[in-house]
Amino acid sequence: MKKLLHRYFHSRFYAILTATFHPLLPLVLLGTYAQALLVAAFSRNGFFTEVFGLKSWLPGYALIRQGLAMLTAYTLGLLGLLTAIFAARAVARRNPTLAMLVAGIGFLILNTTRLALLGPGLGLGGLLLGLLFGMLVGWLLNLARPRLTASFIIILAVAIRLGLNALAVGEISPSFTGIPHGGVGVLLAVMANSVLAWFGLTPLIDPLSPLLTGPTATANLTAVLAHKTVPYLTTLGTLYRPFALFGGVGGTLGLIIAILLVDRRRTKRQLAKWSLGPGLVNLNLPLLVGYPLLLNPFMLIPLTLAPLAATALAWVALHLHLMTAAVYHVPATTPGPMLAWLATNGNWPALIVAFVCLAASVAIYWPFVKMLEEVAPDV
Amino acid sequence: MSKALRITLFSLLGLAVALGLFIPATLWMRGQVKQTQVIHDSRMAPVILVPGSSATQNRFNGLITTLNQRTSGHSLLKVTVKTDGSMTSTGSIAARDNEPYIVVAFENNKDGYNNIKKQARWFNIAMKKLMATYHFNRFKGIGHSNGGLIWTLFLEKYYASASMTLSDLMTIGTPYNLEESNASNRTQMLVDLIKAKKKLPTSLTVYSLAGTATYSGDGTVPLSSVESGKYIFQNQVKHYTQITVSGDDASHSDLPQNRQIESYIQQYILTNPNQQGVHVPASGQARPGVGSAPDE
Repeated sequence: MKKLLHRYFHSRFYAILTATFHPLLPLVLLGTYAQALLVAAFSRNGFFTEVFGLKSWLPGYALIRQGLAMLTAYTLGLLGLLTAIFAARAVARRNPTLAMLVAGIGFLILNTTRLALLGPGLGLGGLLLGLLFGMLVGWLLNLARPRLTASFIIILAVAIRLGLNALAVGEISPSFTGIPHGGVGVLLAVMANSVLAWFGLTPLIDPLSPLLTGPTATANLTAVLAHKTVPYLTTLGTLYRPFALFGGVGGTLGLIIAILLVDRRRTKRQLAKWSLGPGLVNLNLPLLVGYPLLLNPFMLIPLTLAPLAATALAWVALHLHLMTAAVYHVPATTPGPMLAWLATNGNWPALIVAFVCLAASVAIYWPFVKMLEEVAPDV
Repeated sequence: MSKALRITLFSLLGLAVALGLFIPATLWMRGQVKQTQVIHDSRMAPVILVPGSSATQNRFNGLITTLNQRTSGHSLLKVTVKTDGSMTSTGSIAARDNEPYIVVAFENNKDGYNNIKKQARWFNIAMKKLMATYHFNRFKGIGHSNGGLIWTLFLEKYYASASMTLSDLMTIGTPYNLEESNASNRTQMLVDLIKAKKKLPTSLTVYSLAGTATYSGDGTVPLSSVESGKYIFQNQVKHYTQITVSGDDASHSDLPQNRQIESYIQQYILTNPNQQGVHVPASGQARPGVGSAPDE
């Protein structure tokens, strides 16, 4: 295992990944903090907005909101594009400046389709494609006659863009319907969510999306209000959202705590401290690109296991009737362990189960943090 | 600063922040849930009238006609429950009417404790159907004569406080001790009703109205039989008020037309006497044969 880890950390791919994201980390932190403030305190459904009624008494609310929205848009909103540019630079050996230029222009061309839906997106949604595109551009420019290749790449991008436009006109767009409930559906969705986040893609269940939607959540809420038994106990809304998403997809609040407890590397400790703020309102981008979790084959294991374990623990507690079901609507930016407490309207056992789930995720991240610390010491 | 001191300081700060979030958030959530509950509770809260023995669904026609002359916007639905539990109905609930009258009568409307028990069971069937059809979970009750007994039996035996709320009940000339004029001679029915009084909702307000044509009763029901209601309701429901009316129309069968009793209904039972924007069919009464029957 250690040998494998060692090989991964000295692989060319890992070097490119680090070279791509390391320079972007300050920007990611700034953007995530702006986004955390924006969604938790300066939007209508934010936790702090609702609980403290910020909108009614805070002076300059609208102005701060505007500023934060711009900060977020010009940092995280460009992350896909910046990833393409920096990935190209990391791969290109002979002509990094040209590679950056071509990757940037090419990615812009691909992403300004008539229906933005079909483009991978300049922002977070385009993280993986930006990385792949940048790497491809860098690699192509490493071959012979880079200046000629550069022109070809841009012409090719325009051709692809024209094809995308045709698709957009044909209104072919992917869509998925129905939120799964029932044991197997929930397990698959929990796993898929972690894997998508690991790839840098938009997860199915975004930690920032409203907590309770869909017919099962409505049926549950209506039943509780009518003092009847909850019809759908095993759903993402009753198990995954309130118990397994602390800190973001993968329950990464557990990772932050594990790092602070055992990791002695200064850079990682610093990263964990900085990630704590956004982590409290369930945003984990700095960890994703900084630790890094993104495309890190070893971290995929706890990233999937931690939410699975938390979901299973919640399932057991709920089916043994140790706690009541989470049915009430709470803001998505509610600090993790408080989600279940509020969504059950103050059920003490639910709060305890939430902390047990948090402890479980810390325990699951613990050995991985230890292992990475040994294999990849601070430089 | 030593490391231990720093850790203590940071933990204290963390605890303070956590509590500073936890307490306001919990209070906020309680408010939110209460608000959601209010939205969930039905806006419609009908007044449900149950006639006494030998009376049909038309027993309250006179009362409601007069009430509708004094107030506005209340429509009338009349249902009769057959012995097999099926229902027929006349009249309809007008659109936007949040306080309609619903009269529930019984095909078998005979007197006697055994029949009253059956009628309470039929009343429960009818209430379930009405609540499902017209989507309400709050209501007020009026019972004339044995109708008051049916209400009391329903409350003690079938009422589910988790899914319905009866806030006010007015019984008019209800013989809680049947025809017995000596309060110390308790009938089997009164004994049973007292025995199960703990099942009565504690949030309920009860008005028991008695008529007096003579000094001892309304000509049919002895005053002491009506007053025996106190053994059932007093110290169990939230409020129990006993009112005795006399003068014109104070004999037992005239009570629903008694001016004072009409005023009491308007005053104590109707929440919103003059509802705006409700179109009630002419003469304050629904035309017979109009309106759909609740789902069977």
